[in-house]
Formats: sequence, structure tokens, C-alpha cells
Amino acid sequence: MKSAQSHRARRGYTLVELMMVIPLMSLTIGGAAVLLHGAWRVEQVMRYHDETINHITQLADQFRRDVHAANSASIDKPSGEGKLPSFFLSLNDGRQAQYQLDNFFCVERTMRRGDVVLAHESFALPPKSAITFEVGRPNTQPTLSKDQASLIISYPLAGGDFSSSRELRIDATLGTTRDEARLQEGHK
Amino acid sequence: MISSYRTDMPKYKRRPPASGQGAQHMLARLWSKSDASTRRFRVSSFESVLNFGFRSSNSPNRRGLAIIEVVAALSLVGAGLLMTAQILVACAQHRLASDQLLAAQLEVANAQERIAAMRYSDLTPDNLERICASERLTAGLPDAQLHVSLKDAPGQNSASKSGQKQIRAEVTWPAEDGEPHRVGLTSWKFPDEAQR
Repeated sequence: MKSAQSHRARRGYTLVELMMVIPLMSLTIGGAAVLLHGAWRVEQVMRYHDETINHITQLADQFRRDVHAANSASIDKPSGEGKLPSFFLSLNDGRQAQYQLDNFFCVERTMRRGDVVLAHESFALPPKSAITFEVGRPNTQPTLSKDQASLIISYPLAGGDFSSSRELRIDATLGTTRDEARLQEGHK
Repeated sequence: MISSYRTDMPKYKRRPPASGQGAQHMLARLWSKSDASTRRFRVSSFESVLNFGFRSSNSPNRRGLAIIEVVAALSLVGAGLLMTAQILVACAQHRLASDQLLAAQLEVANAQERIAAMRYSDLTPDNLERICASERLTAGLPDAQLHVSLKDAPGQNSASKSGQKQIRAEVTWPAEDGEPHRVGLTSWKFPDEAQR
């Protein structure tokens, strides 16, 4: 009797149990992998988004500082397919600041004096971004007494096409730094 | 619950308990010190510790999974899913909030740039009320409002004697918790020498 019981003692697993357990374990491990991958993707997207916001904020600050310090502004629109416009600002001491979007969706800022490059900075924008420049006096009421320069950034939202896009506009008034310096001299 | 290891089993079925750390290691030591003639000892106390009082996996009566095991496993998976979903929602909200904040900050700064380009004499409450939110802002923040106010502070301090005007531009948009979000910038405008 004991021998029969011992022979009936369970050792190992039946095929049905294995066929049940292995898919369930695969599902569990696969689900965990999907969750981890999703969390990793979310972390990547969030970090990229924060960096983009940071770059746009820095670009806006730098653009405004340059425009405030500039005496005049101009836009160079080269003719031809694929050629991107450049934005030039004439500063004091013969310096010139140039803004241009490169092929990697980065706004390049180059500060030159003559042919000498004094500084070069790059501000990354979201993929497939496009920028346009405007210079002039907007038609508003009351009329403005100074010219304004604008940098308009357009980039597609999550879909990747411009069917749903976001547009950010950075306005700056030309020559305010010069006016402030003149005002300070008047106070002295 | 009693489990036995017997020497009358076929040799290929004999399997000593796995050696390892903790309770498993103690089981292995017991195996080596047990009676060599019968190789029988009770491991119920150790197994009950290992299995937290549930049935041993070595029990011949075990078929399938206990309901409590299934519930525990599903609870763990459900908790993981819930936490991941919460993280996704929090990230989406954070992303939306930072986008809205950036749009509001740019809008307020643009309004201040426009004010900087206006003449000192044009800075009147009527003219400032004409400055309204741009279409770009309302596209991203449908209920956002731009409010520009002028504050004259004559005679309060030495600086105000020069005729300065304090202009505050503020963008507000409703929040889910009731308290509206606000982003504001304040600037001061001084008259030119010719206008004093």
C-alpha cells in the first residue's frame, strides 16, 4: 500500500500544467517588459520635452537681448530650393549677430566682428520645426514708435505632421538698450 | 503536513533537497545527518516556514493554484499597471502644464515688448486695454485672458517724481483646482527728456 502511494507521489509537472504555466509566465514577463519599456519611453519623452522648453526659453532670452542691443535688423532670404533664411542684427562695435536654422532643427546664433567669429551657440528645437523672421513696425493702434523683430517657431505636435502644430512667437523691440543708456545719462 | 523521502524509491527519483542559504540550507544539512537506513525525516516545520503556512509545492495533493495565490499575483500585476497609468497621466499633465506656462510667459513678454515700443504719452488705460491675447495663445489656452493695467504712483517716492508709469501684464487661465493660473510681468516706463 505504501509502495503504491509512493509511486503515486507527485514528482514534477504534467504537460498540461506546463502548457498553462509557461504562457502565463510569458505573459507576465512580457507585460512587465512592456511596462518597463513604457516607463523608459515616458522618461525619455519627458526629458526631451523639458530640454526643448529650456532651449526655447534660452533662445527667447538671447534673441531679445540681441534685438534690444541692436541698431538695425535685416532678413536675408536666399532664392532657391531648400535654402533657409538668415536674420542679421547690427550691434555696437561693429559686431553682427546672425540667426539661422540648420538642417538638424537647431537655431544657430553666430556673433561676428568682420570675419572673426566671436561666439557660436546652438538651440535645439523640436524635430521638423520651421522658423520665420519678421522685422518692422506692426500695424497696431496706437502706432508703435520703434521697430520690432519677431522670431516665429512652428513645430508639429505628437502626430509629426503640421495638421496639428504649435506656433510660438518671440517679439522684441529694437534699440531699447541704447534708449535706456541714454536715459541713464540724462539722469546723471 | 508530513513529507517523506524514502530509500525504497527508484534511484533516479531520489533527489536531495537543494542546498542554499537559510532554511533551504538547513534542510540540506538535515538530509545529510538523517538516518541513512531509512532517509526519512520530517520537514513540515521548515516547509511551513518557507511557504508561510500554505501548502507545500512538494505535496502530492497539490493541483493548480490556490485562490489566494492568484489574488496576490493579480494584485501585484494590477498595482503595477495602476502605478504605470498614474505615471503616464502625471507626465501628460506635467507636459501640458509646461507647454501652457511657456505660451503664457511668451505672451506676457511679447505684450511688454509692445509696451516698450509705445510712446510714453500713448501709455493710457484706454490704449492698454486694446492689447488683448493673441490667437496663438488662445489656440493653446482657450480660456486665457491677457490683462494689461497701468498704475501711476505720483509722489510716493523719489523715483515716481520723475513721472514713471508702472505697467503690469498678466495672463490668467482657469485651473482644475479652481484657483486660476497667473503669469505676470511688471515694467516701468519713464518719460523722455523732451517730455518732462
